[in-house]
Amino acid sequence: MEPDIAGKPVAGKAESQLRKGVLEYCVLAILREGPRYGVELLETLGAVNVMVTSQGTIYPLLSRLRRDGLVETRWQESPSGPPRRYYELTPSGHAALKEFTAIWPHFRDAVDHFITD
Amino acid sequence: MTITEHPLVKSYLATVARETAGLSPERRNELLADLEEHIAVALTEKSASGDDGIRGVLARLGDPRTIAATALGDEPPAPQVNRGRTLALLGLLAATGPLTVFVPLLGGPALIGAIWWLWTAPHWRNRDKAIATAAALVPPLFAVSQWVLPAGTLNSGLGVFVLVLLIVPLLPVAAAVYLLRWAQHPS
Repeated sequence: MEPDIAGKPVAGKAESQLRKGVLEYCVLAILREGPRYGVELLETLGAVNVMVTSQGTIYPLLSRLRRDGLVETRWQESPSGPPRRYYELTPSGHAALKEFTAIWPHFRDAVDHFITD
Repeated sequence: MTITEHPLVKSYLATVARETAGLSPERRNELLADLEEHIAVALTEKSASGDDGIRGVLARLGDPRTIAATALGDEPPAPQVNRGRTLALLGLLAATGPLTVFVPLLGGPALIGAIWWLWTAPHWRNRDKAIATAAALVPPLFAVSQWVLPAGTLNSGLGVFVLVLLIVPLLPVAAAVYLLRWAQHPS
């Protein structure tokens, strides 16, 4: 295997912990726009550097979201390449995202409050 | 040649499979299928081909061990079995045998408590709970039969009666030992 992703430093512990906490909500937020398949989802996430370092780790996360009933999946044929597995928000997924969206500004402000001089 | 037969992809997926041996087969197959689809789709969309294209896609997917660790981190831990509580429950279950036969006033409540506790415990299969419950119900049924059946109906000699009197209260004890074995080796 090649060592990590070329050009990107190995993520620090704080970054990795933070990502663990918020990544699933970013995924839910992207799915709010409509169903997406894995590669598509990763392209959107990858547009912001910090969110995904190892793309493959998104699949265990998506599997958990599906098992928790926050997303559901279906396969759809594609004009090119294999059928894609699409992920779509369920009502519970919408609710979880709504809850996080409400909490996040307070959380962000609280952290800012402590760490800014 | 399909993409999964390419040596680089095959070796990558084999590493993921090896590193996720701790996952349930269902989760593991899902993960492998997701990664396989990702590789095929990514190559199609980037119009990438050849070894370099595949290497690029696999490098972005990341180290199989990282993916495996993420998947294994999501696996719910096995239910925690509290050994003290298990032993207390099984002790109570074992005691219901002698109690229901010899001290019915204590045995009745103890039996009800033990069965209720058993069915609310998480660490046995329903089949094993049913076996233990049946074993625990034999002594009270035996005790009741001594009252209900006219004397002499089951008269097959004092020796046999004493033997039954000794064996019946031991059935819940045997059930407790059986459950203890399964609590130590959960399926």
